Amino acid sequence: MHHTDQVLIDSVVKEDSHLAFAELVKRYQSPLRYSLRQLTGWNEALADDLAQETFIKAYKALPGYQGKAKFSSWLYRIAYNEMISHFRVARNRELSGGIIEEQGSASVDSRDRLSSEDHSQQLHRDLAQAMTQLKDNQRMALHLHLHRECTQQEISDIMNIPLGTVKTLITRGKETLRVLLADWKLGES
Amino acid sequence: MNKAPTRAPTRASTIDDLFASARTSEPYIHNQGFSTHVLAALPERAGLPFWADALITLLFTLLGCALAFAFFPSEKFAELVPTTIVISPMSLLTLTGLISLACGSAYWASETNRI
Repeated sequence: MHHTDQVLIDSVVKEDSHLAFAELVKRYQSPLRYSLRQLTGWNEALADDLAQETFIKAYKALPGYQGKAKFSSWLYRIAYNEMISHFRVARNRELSGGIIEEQGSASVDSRDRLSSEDHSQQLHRDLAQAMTQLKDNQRMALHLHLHRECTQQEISDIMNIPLGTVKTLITRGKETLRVLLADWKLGES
Repeated sequence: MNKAPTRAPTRASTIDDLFASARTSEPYIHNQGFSTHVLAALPERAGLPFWADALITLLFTLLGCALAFAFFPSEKFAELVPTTIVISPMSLLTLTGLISLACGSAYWASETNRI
């Protein structure tokens, strides 16, 4: 039987049903983990850690979820805050430069390594690598816009920033990506 | 046939095309124990602390006592109490049987978690 998100959320809040929460996790784990891979330069371990932390925080905060936004948007908001928080800590430890450099160099390596792999998989990794060159908020805004096809208002709500800032982030982010991905175009495999 | 990125001169639509292709070919990331890890890491929901629970019980008990004292017709009740009770042996036996049945049912229900 397929329950709506709201039914599952009510069950978690009122009955502390782990079964209902497990269903929510199963429903959203793939898109969330994919998004976080895109936002972390396809760092699978880091993305999964952030996704796990996101779900745990969501569970704790679920009694406060009012249902004004879609559950997925609410989840992305938590994930975004988790990601920002992670990179802030990393920068404070003077590791962030290393991370970005590692990701940049990994791009070349993975391209060679993935030469025989599925091209679409390579596309996802290459896009994720290119995105690492953007600022955190620009990356998130572009991901939500280009990957998740969120409206600018939804992005504004998720990231808790003004609409005008969202437009600027997307426009400038696209320009940067256009330069970064200048050598790529779609072709037949 | 899957569209894939290849090196070629830039086009204005490249970014949108690339992301459109990425959207349509987004892989499903298999659970592979992810949900289990999340559920294992979930914290226990904190209920009311013991003192708060006890305080609420005490407050409601006191409230109940106050209401009973205020509204219960204690004078009339004293008049209602019978001075003599006559009960036949058969009625007494029936009453004892009913009480035993009720006790047995309550025990069975609690032991089999029917409550």
